[in-house]
Amino acid sequence: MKKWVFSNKVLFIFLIAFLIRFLGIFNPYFGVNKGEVIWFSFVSNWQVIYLGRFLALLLGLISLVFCFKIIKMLFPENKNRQLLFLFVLAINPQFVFLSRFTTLLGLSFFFVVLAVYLLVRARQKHSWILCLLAFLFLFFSLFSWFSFNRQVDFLPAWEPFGIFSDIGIINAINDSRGAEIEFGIQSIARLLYNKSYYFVFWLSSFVKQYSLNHIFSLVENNGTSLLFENTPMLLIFAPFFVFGFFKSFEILSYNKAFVLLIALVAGGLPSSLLSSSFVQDAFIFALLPISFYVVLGLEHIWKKKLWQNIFILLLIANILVSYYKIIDDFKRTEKLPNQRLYSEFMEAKK
Amino acid sequence: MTNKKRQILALFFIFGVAFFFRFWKLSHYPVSLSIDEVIIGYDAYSILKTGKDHWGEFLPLSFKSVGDYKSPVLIYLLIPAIKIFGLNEFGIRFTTALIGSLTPLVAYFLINCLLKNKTVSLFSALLLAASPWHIQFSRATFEAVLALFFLMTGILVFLKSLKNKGKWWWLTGFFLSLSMYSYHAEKAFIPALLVSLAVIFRKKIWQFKRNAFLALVVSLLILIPFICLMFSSQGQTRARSVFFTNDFELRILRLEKIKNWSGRSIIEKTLNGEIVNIASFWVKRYLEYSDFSYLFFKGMNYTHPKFPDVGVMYYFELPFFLLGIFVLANKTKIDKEKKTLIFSWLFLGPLPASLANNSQHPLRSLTTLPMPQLISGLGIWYFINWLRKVKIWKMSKVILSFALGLAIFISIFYYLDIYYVHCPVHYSHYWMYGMKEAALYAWQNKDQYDQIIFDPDFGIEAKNIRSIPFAYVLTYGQVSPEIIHSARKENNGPLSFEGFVFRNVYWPEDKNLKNALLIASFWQLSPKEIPTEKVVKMISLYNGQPMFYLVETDKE
Repeated sequence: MKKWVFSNKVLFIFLIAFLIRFLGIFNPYFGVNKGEVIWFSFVSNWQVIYLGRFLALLLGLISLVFCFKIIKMLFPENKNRQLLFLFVLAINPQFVFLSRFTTLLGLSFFFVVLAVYLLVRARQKHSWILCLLAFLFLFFSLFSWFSFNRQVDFLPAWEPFGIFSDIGIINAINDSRGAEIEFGIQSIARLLYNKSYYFVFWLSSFVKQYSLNHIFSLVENNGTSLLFENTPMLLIFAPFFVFGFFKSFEILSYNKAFVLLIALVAGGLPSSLLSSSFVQDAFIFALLPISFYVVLGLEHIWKKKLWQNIFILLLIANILVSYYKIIDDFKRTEKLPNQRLYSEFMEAKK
Repeated sequence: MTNKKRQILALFFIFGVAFFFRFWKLSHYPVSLSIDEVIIGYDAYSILKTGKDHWGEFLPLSFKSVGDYKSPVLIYLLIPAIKIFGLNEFGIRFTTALIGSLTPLVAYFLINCLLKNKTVSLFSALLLAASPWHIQFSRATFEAVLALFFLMTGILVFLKSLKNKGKWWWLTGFFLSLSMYSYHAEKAFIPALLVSLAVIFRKKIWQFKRNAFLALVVSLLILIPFICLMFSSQGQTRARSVFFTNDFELRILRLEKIKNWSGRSIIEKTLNGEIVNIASFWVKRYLEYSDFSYLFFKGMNYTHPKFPDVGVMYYFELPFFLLGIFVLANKTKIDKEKKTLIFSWLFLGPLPASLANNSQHPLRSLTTLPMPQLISGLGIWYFINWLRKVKIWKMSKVILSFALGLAIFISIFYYLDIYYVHCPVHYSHYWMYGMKEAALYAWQNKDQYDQIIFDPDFGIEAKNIRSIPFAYVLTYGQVSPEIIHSARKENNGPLSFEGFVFRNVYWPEDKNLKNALLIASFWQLSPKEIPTEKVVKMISLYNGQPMFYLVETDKE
């Protein structure tokens, strides 16, 4: 691919990414996130919320740039892979909606992407300073979560790991050991049902996130998700993800495939530790490796012209339906417009 | 020892394991006959005695049963067992347990036919023999176990017959047709699998087209009554009632969407309309079967949410399942056609369940078996081979082998504890625990009362379980089918026979009845309202929670 053609394609994808994130974000009736109100509660003018949104948009776009740079550094020769990865991320509904609202998750995500970029760069340059910087940004990422919780409720530092304080699990373990009704052999009950069940429960919640319906279909009935009940990734990518995932060790070198697998596992850790139920928004960290698996699947299957055309048609349909559905559901949730929400909050605060 | 002897020994071992898991304490666990079991058992008994089901229909192809039009094969196959062992828990459960014990043997041959690897086949068959997914449904009277057995046999014959120019394909047609008669899920699964088979093996099928045509003719001949039935109102009743469009969740979603529907443009109606919502809901339902939490941690639903539970596969299988898919996709040197068949089966398996109205339904997705076990077995085989070849410290090999053995032991032991100890405590009411005791008491003391009124509704948090006490009364009283036939014909008011009446109990009115025995849950016969001396018996659930009260009214 010629350099100017490649550059034009990159610019075009960035233009799409910008438009899809920017259009409509200053609409005062397109409000939902209480976090936005809380975050700016110290300012008397409610319109300052839009400043936060603009910042989120900026962070989203910069994160996209760094994602592109990471893939460029890892696969400098494979231009198609770079473009496909950029495109899949640019239109990813969850990433798009993360860039349209003021949440600290967006900031956290930005720091993580930056840290990964610095780590890859540090490995190439053999620079320990860059490595140190990367860990600093990872710490920032973690800190952005804690600061959010502390500002609102002054919660202890371990509070985000909600799974370990879930009263339901504690009661379940006690009941399984015969706390309420004694049954079975008590020594066996004590042997099988103890604190190790936290780990089993966590593992169960952890692997549940990777269920295809959570990634490519309607998410769980979770009103706090920015996407409501819509798809974090476009459904059309599901078969490509499955194919890319299982063929990754064949397509990539063993080391790269292994690192990718680790990134996928690590990406699911924050959301699985936060609560005993699924936290859709926090699963954003896993969407980077998932997008990469999609790209692997796409480039491997994408061989015949006919299939390409069919895929593009389906992709356009999927984009139209998905985005329309998200916006439509968003509008009809009868959430309060920002202005009212803000004034109600301020009054309550008084 | 020769290879043949080893194989026979392996087969005996597989059957032994499967038999143990399915027959051990079969009469006692599940703790009571469920609604389906008791009515299937009595219908088989009725056919045995009179040639008619309990509605009085002669040799039906679709049993009206409790209004859900059950598939016929299991009921007919139950007759010999009921003749030999009698109309009791063991007799009713025997046929499925036996077929369930034989299924891992068929799985062994099928997997060997696909992978040409006896060790993997042995591991996979053993995993199926001890699989919670299969044991659960083999230990109770579920038609799906039978349908799976015929399905696997049919595909085995198809693959075996590829070598002899498709001479036995007519047998495939026979078994697959029988499978479609056996359970509803197969009615959706088998046509889809046949299309994949036709695409995957198109060259060979074209090559032996005469035998393929013969198989088609045999299938069509067997299926003619079935096809007629499918177009009748009887056949459609079941399909309509369980189709996913009737799902409660989807109904709510659709109700929310049609708010302000009239004022919306065509674009709005197209992009966020009925078709899009129904399609995306079905996709969600289908993809839910890829949930590893369902597969390995929670799928069996033996306990309440957040309680320790068991998946449809064991915990220890999770890494081997993932490894198995990697191996199958990248490493094994098996025919491309057979590899495609394995993946097609795996992906089509949840199709019937996704088209029905519940999320993550292990029974309806039983069609996926034995592919998950094949993949786990492949993973275990690959891991053991790697362990033998890899040059690491010998002691670490011993530790790894020991850890694997321990993980398998703990997983199975844990499952048995959940199944035999915890599940009855949590869910005995769903198995209608207490109905047998109430029915037996009623029969023993029947002469003392003019009428016995048996209430079908009960529940723990609410009166949300509807049982069929008449079937328990018929079964445990070994009532002659002619009595229920004539009772069904009368069809005016609540069902009644032999002094039993099956309707809701209403204490403020029913207390005025003379010389009657009322059997109902505490929702209708609250111990606070009823004088203690009137309560002749109290029946508890398996966990000791009082559920049914047997109350007598004034004698004169």
